[in-house]
Amino acid sequence: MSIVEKLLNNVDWLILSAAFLSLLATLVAGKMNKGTKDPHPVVGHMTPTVLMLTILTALLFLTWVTVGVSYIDLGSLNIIVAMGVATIKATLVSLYFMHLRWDRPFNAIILVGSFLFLGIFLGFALLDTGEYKEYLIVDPTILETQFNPSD
Amino acid sequence: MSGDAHQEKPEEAAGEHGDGHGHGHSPHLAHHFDSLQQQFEAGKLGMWLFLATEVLLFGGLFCFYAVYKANHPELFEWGHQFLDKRWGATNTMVLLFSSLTMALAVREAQLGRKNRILFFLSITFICGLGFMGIKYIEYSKKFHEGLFPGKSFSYATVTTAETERDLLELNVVAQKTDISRPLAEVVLIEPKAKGQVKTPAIAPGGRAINQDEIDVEIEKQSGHPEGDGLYIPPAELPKSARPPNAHVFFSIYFCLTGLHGIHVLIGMAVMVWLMVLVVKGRIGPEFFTPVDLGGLYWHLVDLIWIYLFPLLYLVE
Repeated sequence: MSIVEKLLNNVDWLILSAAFLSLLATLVAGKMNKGTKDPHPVVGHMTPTVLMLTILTALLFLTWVTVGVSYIDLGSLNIIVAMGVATIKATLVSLYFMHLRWDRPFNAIILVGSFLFLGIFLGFALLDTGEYKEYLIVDPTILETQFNPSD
Repeated sequence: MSGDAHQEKPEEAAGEHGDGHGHGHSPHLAHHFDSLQQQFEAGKLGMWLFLATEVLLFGGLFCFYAVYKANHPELFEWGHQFLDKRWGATNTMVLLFSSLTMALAVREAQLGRKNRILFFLSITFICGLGFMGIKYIEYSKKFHEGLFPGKSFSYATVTTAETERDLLELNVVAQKTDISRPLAEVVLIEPKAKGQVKTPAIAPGGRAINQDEIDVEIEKQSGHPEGDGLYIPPAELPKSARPPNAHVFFSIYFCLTGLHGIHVLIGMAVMVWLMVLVVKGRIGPEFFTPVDLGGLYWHLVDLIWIYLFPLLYLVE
């Protein structure tokens, strides 16, 4: 078994150690930047490095949680947990990495609006499922019995 | 964007707009904006509108996924076992890390530190390259197994593997059977529901054979392909029965990850373009919109992967 294969088999530990590494980087950066202040940017808002590292740490921990949960069978809860964690991660990325927290709210409205319309799209499409026959190709024997009753 | 800004003469840019912030003299300010801040926000708004259309573009494919999953859950139960969640999780880490470096590149652009922008942009580019490399490993495995999307899906390869698996299973049972004892009925018990306690089957001679035991043996004996032809090792077949529309799962998988992969490639091209801009000296604290918008695009690609990964690899 190659080393790559060995590492891959322990991918959950790999993610966890990446998360701890990121946590360490956060703490180190926090200590180094103590007392220093970012210059005021000419335009826009500047995100502090420590905050970005904190977000990465959170994202990696959440990834570890989803991967970990996928090994446990929770029935229909699995998808709810997976989507819930994905939504938390997406919120973190959009708020901090994509600067939405400091942007004009209109940008956030556009993003939330697009998700809203996506929800309408998916919702109405899903309302329609299960309303039809499973297979559209009808078995010829069924046709025969329906249209030429043998008796 | 930057081209226009640069043709602007400083005197013209200063114009009659008395900018309160005192940035009116910037050569980066296009004449139709009042201030650098307004110019920056207008660019961002446009990018966000574009990102909304991107969400809806992927939305069509997510709808494909959702409707199919609602109608044929067994299809996903079967198909997702061909995907390697270890590689998927690694790719998630790579992409999350690249998002951090991209955000740091934007920060350095705001500070106007050229070398650091280039450093973080190239790390982001390398992460994108790594992501595509892993995608290549995953895709080539699927292609060697004949798991193509749509019409090209090779049912023959899957059937061959199933036959091979059945034969192996018979062999293993025969090997594990103690024929010195009087004959009894061979009963293989497969667990019906997950979590149900498996009762060992009674083989001739009263020896118990677990399905697990057989699976381990099949894994050991599962051969490797001899030629270059399409081949699935029998041990890698999902344990559940193959649904009749198996190929649709791979259509969904390749459509979603393929469109996402194309976005990663475009993002990487954007990185190269940004690096050229930085080298040319077009990026500075007053005008970093290209880096910022490229970053937004890259983060959206990350955002979509955050949903794709659990939906395709993890959910059963």
